[in-house]
Amino acid sequence: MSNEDILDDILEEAVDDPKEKSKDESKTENIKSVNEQKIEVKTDKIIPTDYLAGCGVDIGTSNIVVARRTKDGTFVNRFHRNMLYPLDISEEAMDLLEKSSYLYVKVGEKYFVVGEDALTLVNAIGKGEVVRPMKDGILNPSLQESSDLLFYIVKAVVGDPIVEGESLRFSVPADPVDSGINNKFHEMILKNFFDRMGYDAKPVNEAMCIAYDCNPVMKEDEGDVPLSGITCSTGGGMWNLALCYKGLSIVEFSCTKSGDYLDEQVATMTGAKKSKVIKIKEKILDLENVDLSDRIQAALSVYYDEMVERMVHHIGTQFKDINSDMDGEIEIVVAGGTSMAPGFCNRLEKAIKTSELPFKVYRIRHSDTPFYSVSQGACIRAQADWNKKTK
Amino acid sequence: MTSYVKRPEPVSISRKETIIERIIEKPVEEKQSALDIQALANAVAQAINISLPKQNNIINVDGTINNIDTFDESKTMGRLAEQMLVQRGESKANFNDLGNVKTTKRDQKDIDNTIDLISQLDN
Repeated sequence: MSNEDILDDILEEAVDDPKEKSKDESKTENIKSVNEQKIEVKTDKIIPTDYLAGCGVDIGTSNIVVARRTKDGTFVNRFHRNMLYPLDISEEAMDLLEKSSYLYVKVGEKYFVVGEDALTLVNAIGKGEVVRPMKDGILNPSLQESSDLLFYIVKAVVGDPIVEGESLRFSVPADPVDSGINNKFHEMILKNFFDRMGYDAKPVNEAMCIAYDCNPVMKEDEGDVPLSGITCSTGGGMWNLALCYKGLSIVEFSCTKSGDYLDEQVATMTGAKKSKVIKIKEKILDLENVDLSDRIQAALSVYYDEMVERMVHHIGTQFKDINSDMDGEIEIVVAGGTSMAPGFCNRLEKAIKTSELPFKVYRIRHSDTPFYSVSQGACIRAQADWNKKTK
Repeated sequence: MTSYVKRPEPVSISRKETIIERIIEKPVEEKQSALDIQALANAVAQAINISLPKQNNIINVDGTINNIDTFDESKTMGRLAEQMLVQRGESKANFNDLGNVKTTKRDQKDIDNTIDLISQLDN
């Protein structure tokens, strides 16, 4: 196959809509909330520009999502796959980039094809691996060019502030329970990025963004308590969990064994390329109906089980003794790209039912917009900041 | 450069301890492997509504004493982050904006209620 043939194939492939898969999750309906509101999700050709001040950014290991809200209450989410394919400078590479519409950043002696193209390119060429400017929820320390690359990408996805000193909230992970990673430097780098761009930027815990977007409700004898419960964001590099009460975070923690860990483990165990595992996980895998004849799907299923069991284990240990103070029944809201495999919430529900937790859970709800909940929650938080600032 | 700090394996954190830690912004290092006298003292102090000065050491279960470095590292991290953003080599991109767009429609009243509630929070 020539480079041109490969290119033709690649260019024909449309960028996948991460929401489509989630919309097909009819099998998980029984554990979703009885949603009072139906949330429309659509692709807009014409992007509204009458935004309210306050911008939310979900800087994830796998994706960057930026949310703004218009005056009529519509969230406009811009998303970009946080993935790179490195190419050394060569005639072949130059030729490939010239003939294609690939977007790239050149840093020193290397080209980095950015976004979804990186994944399609590595799958087509079958050589090399995709790299990420972030790892385990923070800047990738093993990629020297990570801050240069991330700056270009963030600037291009977020855009300029709509007013001087516009409030911006960017998501940051909590301290992980399974690693000594220091998040502070990552947080400072991002704050510097956004401040340089003219924003008034502050970090916000990733799991708390889900609370702001999805409003979990705790049931108490006296009535429902808003913005209270457990929220969980399952990203590529980490899953983040928070227990909140009336919008205030009580306990928050994270774990690095999330989507990327699954990919790596399955690739190691099956001998398949990581990019192939990602493709199967995102496009084929249905946790309610796993094709066990496929070694990759079978292994993914096992590691998804391990992930939800680990999650429930840590909920149990980190939130131990809370029952004495929290009498209400708790709602758990789940969002994030890794939760979008059909059947994920059912597996979590089963794991919770078979474990002893220090509180009662009355339902597990999958966000109606799992891919956008963190950015939308950050946007809501930023708008609250702006309102406070301009009062 | 990201720095790595070795932390002990996690065990349970009680809610009281966590809330107290949040309020007094006490460093949390070593709490799992050591008896944290300061946290206990603060819990008692809070219960009887007095404030205690912070102490900078913790006593491990084996009786040895660890000093906690209370130095605020955020300035260093800020300076380091600033230095990391200095372009050291030639770099360029062939794009000015990136990403695909999706819109979602929500109940405006619900969002406004949430904004009102979280506007009252301090941080």
